[in-house]
Amino acid sequence: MAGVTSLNDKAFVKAAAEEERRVDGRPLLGNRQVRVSLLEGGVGAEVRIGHSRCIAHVQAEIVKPSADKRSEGVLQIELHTSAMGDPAYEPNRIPESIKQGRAAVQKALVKSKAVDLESLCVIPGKAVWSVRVEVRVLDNGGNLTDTALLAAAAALKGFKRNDVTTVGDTVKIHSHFDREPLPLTLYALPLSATFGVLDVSKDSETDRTVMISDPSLLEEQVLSSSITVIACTTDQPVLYGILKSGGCAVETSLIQHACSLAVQRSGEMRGA
Amino acid sequence: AGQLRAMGCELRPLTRCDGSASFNLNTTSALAGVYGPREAKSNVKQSDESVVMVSFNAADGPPSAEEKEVQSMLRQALEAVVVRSQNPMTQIEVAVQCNHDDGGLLAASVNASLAALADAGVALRAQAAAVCVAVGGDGGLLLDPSRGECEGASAVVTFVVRADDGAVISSHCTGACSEDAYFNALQAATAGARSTVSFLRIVFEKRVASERACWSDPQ
Repeated sequence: MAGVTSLNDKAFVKAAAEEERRVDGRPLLGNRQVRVSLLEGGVGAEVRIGHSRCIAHVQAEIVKPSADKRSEGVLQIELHTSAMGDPAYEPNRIPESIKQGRAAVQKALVKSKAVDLESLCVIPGKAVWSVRVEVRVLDNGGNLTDTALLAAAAALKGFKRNDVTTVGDTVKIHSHFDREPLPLTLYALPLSATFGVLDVSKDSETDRTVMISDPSLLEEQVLSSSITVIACTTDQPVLYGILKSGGCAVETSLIQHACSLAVQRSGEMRGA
Repeated sequence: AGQLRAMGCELRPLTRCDGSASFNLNTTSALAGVYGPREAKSNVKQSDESVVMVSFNAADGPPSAEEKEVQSMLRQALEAVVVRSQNPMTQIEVAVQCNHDDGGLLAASVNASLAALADAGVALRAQAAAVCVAVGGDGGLLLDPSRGECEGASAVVTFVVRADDGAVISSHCTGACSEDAYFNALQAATAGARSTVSFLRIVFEKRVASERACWSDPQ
């Protein structure tokens, strides 16, 4: 019974949205405080957005590459929830928020080719680096997508792999004491901004929707739909993906607004 | 050699758990979250006492056999300390996440779990703490070893000791050492456990004092 929100709470959030207010006092498009801290030894990062907390650990090892990608490294990013993140945790059940988080992380960091995989090749066809990022949700305070993606991105940015030298077919991995470890080559660091859409139309009126930025846990229970925009602002704003879960229909102008806000937010978060 | 590293403890870092605590021994850090006592699933429910379930995640990737061993050791140690008869038909879930391992991870995990259980208001039988000791080849002891020191030792033992009378609740030993060395390690660990318990007591007293100040403030 721990994960159930009362009808009164839900009605309260909706009524507040009708008046263009939010339950925690933020403006409609206001975001919670973002705190990023890198772990000791550059092995990962911990991110807090409001009460949501995710930790990402990075590991790298030398493996044999697959036959069709002989000179590319491997990047795997996994997102898990843990028993401490949510009282309703069950080992084999994956909540919606995690599924969305996984989709966003794959789009932003793996499919976008943000990490230079060719630089992870050691001996073509024989040895490549396989980098594995594991993101775990420690505390679910809403908007796990942004928190998890930021944790994975920060972890990859701060990660340094061991230096290697190749002698013929053998690979010698140098420890941190022998040689300085090297950072990964990242072309871009796409980050996401999630918006919630609340349907506050009364019965006979035309659809009226209110968009809020960075929904908290309580707001997530009430949303009619959510939009996650993945963007990056290195030289010029580039969009890497837009994820809109079903729910109510929204006007295109709303989505455009969300995109421009996301670009702004990804710039802010990079600075964090 | 007989000194514990700087300890740190933060109470209630997590918001959704009933109780949580993080415990650091210098850079070794473990975070524990507790849910419970709450309704147990019918297949684990016991009619006379509560069930303690532990899940442990190390910083490294997929669950390994070592993790499972730590998980079961943690569960057995906590089952001995928690007053299980107080809440029959319920389960108490403890989730432990390791953030950094620089030696003494098992000890940090046990201490974090005990602090989190106390934070959740679960009744505990005794004040106990875990301490790690490394035994060198010559029988020399290193209290609260770092990772490098653990790797060079011939045996690493983690004791969970009751602070009041020095009784051993749990002992986990990796490697081989002589009988004398083991009992010397236990003595050193008991002293270490007493310091840890006093430290945790100070942390809890501070928290209770700040909560009391919060409640008694007329505003």
